[in-house]
Amino acid sequence: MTPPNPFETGNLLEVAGLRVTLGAGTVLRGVDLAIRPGEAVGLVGESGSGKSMTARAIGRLLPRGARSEGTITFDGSDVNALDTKGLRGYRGQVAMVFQDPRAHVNPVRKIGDFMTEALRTNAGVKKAEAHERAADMLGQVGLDSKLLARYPHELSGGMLQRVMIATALLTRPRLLLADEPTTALDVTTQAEVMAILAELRRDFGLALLFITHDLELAAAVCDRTAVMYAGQVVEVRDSALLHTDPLHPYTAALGAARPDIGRSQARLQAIPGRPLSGFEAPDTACAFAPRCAHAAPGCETELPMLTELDGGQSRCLRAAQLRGTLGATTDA
Amino acid sequence: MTALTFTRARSFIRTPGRLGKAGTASAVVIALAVLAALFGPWLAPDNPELPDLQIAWVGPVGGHPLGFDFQGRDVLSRLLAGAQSSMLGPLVVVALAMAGGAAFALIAAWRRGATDAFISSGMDVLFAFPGILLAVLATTVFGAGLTAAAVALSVAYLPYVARVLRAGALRERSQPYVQALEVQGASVWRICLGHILPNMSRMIVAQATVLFGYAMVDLAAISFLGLGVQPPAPNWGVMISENQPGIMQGYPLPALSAALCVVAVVIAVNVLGERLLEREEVR
Amino acid sequence: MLVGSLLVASFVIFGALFLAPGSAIAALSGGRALPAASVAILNQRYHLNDPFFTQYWYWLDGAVHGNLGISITLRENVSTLIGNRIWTTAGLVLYASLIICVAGIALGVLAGLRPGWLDTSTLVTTAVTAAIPSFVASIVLITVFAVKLGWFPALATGTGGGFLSNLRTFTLPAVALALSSLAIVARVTRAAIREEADREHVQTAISRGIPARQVIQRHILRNAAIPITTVSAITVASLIAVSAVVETAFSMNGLGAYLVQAAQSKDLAVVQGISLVLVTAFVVVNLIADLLYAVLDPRVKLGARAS
Repeated sequence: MTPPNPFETGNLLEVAGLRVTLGAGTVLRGVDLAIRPGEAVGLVGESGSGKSMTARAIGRLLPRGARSEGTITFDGSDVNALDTKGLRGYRGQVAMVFQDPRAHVNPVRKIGDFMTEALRTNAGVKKAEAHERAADMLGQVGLDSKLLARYPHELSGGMLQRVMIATALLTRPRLLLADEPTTALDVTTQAEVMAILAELRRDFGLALLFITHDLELAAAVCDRTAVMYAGQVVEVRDSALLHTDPLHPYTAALGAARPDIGRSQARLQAIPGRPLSGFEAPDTACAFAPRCAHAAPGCETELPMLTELDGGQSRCLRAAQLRGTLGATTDA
Repeated sequence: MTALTFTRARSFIRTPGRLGKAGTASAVVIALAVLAALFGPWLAPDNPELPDLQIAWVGPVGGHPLGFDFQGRDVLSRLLAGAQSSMLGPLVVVALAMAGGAAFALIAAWRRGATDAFISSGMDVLFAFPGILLAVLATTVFGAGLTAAAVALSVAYLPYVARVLRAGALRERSQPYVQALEVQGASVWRICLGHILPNMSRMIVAQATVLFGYAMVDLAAISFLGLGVQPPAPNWGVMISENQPGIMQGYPLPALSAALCVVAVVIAVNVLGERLLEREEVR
Repeated sequence: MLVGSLLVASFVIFGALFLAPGSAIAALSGGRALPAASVAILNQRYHLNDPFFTQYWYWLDGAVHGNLGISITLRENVSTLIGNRIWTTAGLVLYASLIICVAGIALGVLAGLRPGWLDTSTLVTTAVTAAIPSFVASIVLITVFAVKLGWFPALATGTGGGFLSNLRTFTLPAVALALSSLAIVARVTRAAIREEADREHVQTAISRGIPARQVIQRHILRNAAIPITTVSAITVASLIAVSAVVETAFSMNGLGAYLVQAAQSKDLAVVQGISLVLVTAFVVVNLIADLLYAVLDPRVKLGARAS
């Protein structure tokens, strides 16, 4: 874990009360998040929980017709209030890596063109120098600089993803938003890419928002992890404590549902019901209550707020009561 | 076996779905055209074939809303009478092209390998012949007339139909039910005609509709050129050509009304075809 | 592969007309009875008693060397007759292609990039125009612009006169030829632009702060160019045959109109010659389309264009 840079106090990125509506439905119903410089924060949730939409909101890449409320602050400035020039600068500081590399790289342009485009356009770097930097960065992710002259369809998925990561780092960003960067890859390649990400983070002092549906993966890579459900952040916790001392029943259920190789189980513990998306969640009750093993009558009538608890946060009305009882050592 | 095919066909007819305003309007136009084609000669108020040069080019008069053409024949009657050949020609073209195209597509999809490659190359060669050119060649050899033109057009459309249907046939061919039927000992004919083809029926109908539009345009063009239906037989394409001099003399109505008939039906067919294709894609 | 196509096509052209009823002698003589000596000479000169393939070979060999035989009706070299008329047709097709590509693509791009009134009106007009066949467009244009308004001549005979005068003469026919194809190209262009703008790689470019104009040029337009070029090429190829209709409607002295006349008067050599020229042009345009496709899309090998 990188200690925070003593010259930078305060959070690098702050998301407060983020709500996003798309058409008639609400996709994000309340996201609160903070990332310190150089910190790695995981964002975990099932499909429909709104984790990708959160990343897009931070990157100002929301689809046409989406409206957002709440604030997103980067280094003290309001991200949504940035003008064109400011936005361009912001995009240089906050880079995104996407889930499906093959769909996200223009198939008719060479890799070299793809990698150096932003440098040449925004930073005015000359072509030769830009290519040199790109070649250098390719080396850092373990790829040959000869790939600069190739086309995307000539590379494997894993290689393309490494190219995406290398490209993202060319502008020396301070925050990397990684939206399920390894989900589309096979397990071995996953491990390689994760290792590269971790190494680069150390070398460049990058902050990282790592989005995934895999709780264990996030906990392994990130200092802190946030868990999302139905368009809201329901828990934020130090990764080390996530499994042993979670603060929200949903996190506990997620952890318990994963089969443990070291233990023999009679049957898999699935969470009953199906995950709710932001569209379907009620505004006057806890969204997880119908599936929660610890639900009390009050949970169906009151909307829980994100409250601080023991260095983390939890959106559960009974969080204080359930403290210490949700860990992996107790069977739900 | 027959019961199965019948049910499938019935469910197809019973689910026209929402065609939308444009779709229903198009269906109405087409229905009117079909009615005209079937009953035109009887519906015509006046004799469509008897010339009377004294009233040539006379404008709309009571009982003759579209006036008279260059030979003094009532335009409305002639349009109604002409509906038959104007609609029948494309129908024949579509029927022949779909039948031939389906046959080639099924053979190519079933046999695959060398047969498929051979048929596909053959189709590619045929692609080099635009419809109108083939019609010109055919009429040179066999003399001008609707038959030669219609057959030539069907041949010209064959490769297009074959290519589209081949894709669908290949898809069906690789479905598990085909293997199941083969294992049961069903003959190739039975599988192709009784199962694969009916399963492609939506696609076939959609393509046929679009093709009808093309055929109508091409046939009317060929008749316009004087190579299709021969005057004095009534036909919309012929009417446009024979009444064209009237435009220059200030009597555009006969030629334009025939043109309007062609365009109206073609638009209607295109809209309907597009709707059907959309639904096919959604599936 | 395309050369093979051409060869087979030429075979079909020759073979089909070989089957035409009526003896070649009768056609050549115009129906008169000829003395035996003349018949013998004709047989020898035109290889009329040779087997089918020999005749085919003579014809093909002649064609490649620019000799396409003699027209029966006009008693001139077919090649000369074609040469006289080819520029009319070529000019018409080129003019129409220009209209289609410039106006069609421009309209499609604008409609695709900006939602709003331009987009809706484009959709509506193209839906109607796409269904208007060229011969209908011809007579409507003649009625409105030539007869009523008098802006353009109604008949496009003769190509004498200066360039501007020719331009004016050819405008109505070119528009008539281009109209429905223009609509199709505009629609396909619009759809391609829309689809490309929604692609993920465009998101990537935006997320890296690349300015909107460059995103449009280097990512949306560049990628949409693939389907746009394909459909434009196919459309231009189709113009070659349809030009016959427009030429007839405007009484133009082009290859297409002449082909129709020759077909009606059973002037076989002319029909064969012009058919060969038209099919060759068609094949060449398709070849160019294939080349362009392979150049624009690095994922594709030559000859792999899916129509």
